[in-house]
Amino acid sequence: MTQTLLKAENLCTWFDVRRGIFSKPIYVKAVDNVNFELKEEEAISLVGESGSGKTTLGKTLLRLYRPTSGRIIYNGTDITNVPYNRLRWYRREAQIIYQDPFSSIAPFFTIYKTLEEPLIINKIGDSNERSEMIYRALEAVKLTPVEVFASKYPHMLSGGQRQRVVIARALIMQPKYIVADEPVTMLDASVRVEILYLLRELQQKYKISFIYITHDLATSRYFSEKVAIMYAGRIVESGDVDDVIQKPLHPYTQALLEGIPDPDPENRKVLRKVPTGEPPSLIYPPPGCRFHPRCPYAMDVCKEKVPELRELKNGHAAACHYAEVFLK
Amino acid sequence: MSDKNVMSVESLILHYRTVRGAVRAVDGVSFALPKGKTIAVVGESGCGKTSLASAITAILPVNVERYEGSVFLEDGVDVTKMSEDERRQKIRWNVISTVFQGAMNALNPVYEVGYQVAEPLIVHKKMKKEDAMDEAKNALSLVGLPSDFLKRYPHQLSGGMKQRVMIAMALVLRPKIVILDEPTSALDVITQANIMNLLKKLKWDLNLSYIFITHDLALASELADIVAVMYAGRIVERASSEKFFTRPEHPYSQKLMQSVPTLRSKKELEYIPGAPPDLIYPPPGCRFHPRCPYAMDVCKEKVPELRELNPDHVVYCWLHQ
Repeated sequence: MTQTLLKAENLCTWFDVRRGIFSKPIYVKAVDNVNFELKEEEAISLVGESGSGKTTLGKTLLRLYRPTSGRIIYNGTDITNVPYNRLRWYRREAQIIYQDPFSSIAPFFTIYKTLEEPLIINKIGDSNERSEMIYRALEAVKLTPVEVFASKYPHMLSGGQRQRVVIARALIMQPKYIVADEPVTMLDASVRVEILYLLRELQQKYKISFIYITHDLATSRYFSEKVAIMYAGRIVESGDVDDVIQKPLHPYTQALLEGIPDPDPENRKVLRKVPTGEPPSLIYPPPGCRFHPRCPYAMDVCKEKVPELRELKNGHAAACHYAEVFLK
Repeated sequence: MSDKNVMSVESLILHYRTVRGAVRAVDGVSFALPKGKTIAVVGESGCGKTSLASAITAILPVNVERYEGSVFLEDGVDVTKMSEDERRQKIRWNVISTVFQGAMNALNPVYEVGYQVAEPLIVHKKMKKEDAMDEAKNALSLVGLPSDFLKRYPHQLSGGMKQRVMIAMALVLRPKIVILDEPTSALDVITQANIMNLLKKLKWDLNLSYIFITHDLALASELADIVAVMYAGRIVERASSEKFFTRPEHPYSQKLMQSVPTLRSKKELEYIPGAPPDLIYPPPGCRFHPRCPYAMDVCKEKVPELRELNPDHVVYCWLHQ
């Protein structure tokens, strides 16, 4: 249960944006010095705004990107620099669910063919076994009657049904963990909850670990026990979801929480106390704490020294020089 | 029509023509907008809320099958009965302006934003360019952007700044009514909160009336004095914010509220089984009946009539007849 499945140490993924061959290299530091751990059967939410590096971190963990530095250890094996053509076993064990179900399934394949494709590529089973696996996966995501759905084309399905197909495609390889990149963002409110609960159910039933990438802190608490908050390429706070929501220790998390309304008629009478400004450039991030230009509590030390992510209480960690003050 | 209302929409209908038949996007919508207040039109995608916005301003696509009903303004004129020229010259931007969805795509990339904000003044008010640019500067400062932004191009701005420019543009002719069509849908949480703060301040300072179109109930509560829930082209419930958020009465509104994840209190989330109906062949009777847990025989046959629970709470549901 508490076995570590996936671990990242000082992980950096920088993208080279150099324009000419003689100019000095410039990097977008999308993921910068991140430590991350995913245990077996665990679900972690990775929360951050657009450009915070959450998707890049997810894709680097899946080794869809090669990290610039740091290490990724999966089940005790270092996979940091394994070439892509020798990662096929890893592609089976780690799956991804994308945000947009309208562009992540091939429009000219039937659902059957969409689900059969990964099995054929990985040379799994004969055609009878494959069809049994396909029907079982469709049943798991509740697209029943399975024969009817298997013969449909994506354009015949609603957004929620398409996302179920994407989930079935991830499940069919019996992965150890799944990175779900904003899986419900494109869906309507009433369908969103349905898909979120389905993912949760599958996670518990098949004992799959999940990394749930989202910008929406409110949905994260309905899906996972743990959460990691990202800002400008770094994890700024992590811990149990309820601890982080009830007692945020990083000023950025506090701002994020303040920014999210609950349905309440009093909301319209008051202004929200949120910082102004925008997240920093990831090419030239500010020195010290990257949140300091927007932080209402910023002191001199914040401008100079990078705060380390440090545990303060029962697995609740924050990267802020003054986190102790917020703990009280 | 009461004289406090800046707008009153009556039995508005907008159907689109398609090869499969008429899409009943807006099918008999009525509401009144009091001065200085905000009505939030809430509904899922495809319920007709954006079509309602185009029906109000009469910005219509070419494939209109049916466009009926009335949109009365304060002085009693009916926007739907005007000629297109009259609407363009007198109504749009002057009285009703719109902040469109997806600010990043609504700005012209090859013009400086200052000119784009000034353009309605040059076109509508026949202002000289220099005067218009001065006004544009004021409008930008109103939305919290410094004057050197006049000379910038859209690609030099972030999403939140572009949305501010769109709001400045909508306000430059000092309209009474602003239609906000998902004004923050592509923005981050903190940026969204900042835009909502701005919209609140503008509403308080300028006594603006908003029609706020959104799919997000929690966000609706940031501005709404009145909430109107739309389902399959019709309003199913309309209530003051206080009544709606404490006790929604239509089964669809109740389910929708129960599907909103909350941060400050933990509740069991629910979802609505099934999918919204096809607007070409909507179900007979109440359009929500195939998904409604309380559906009775009458719901399948007869369209529910308006029922006034009290002066600021109306619902269209047979449970309340």
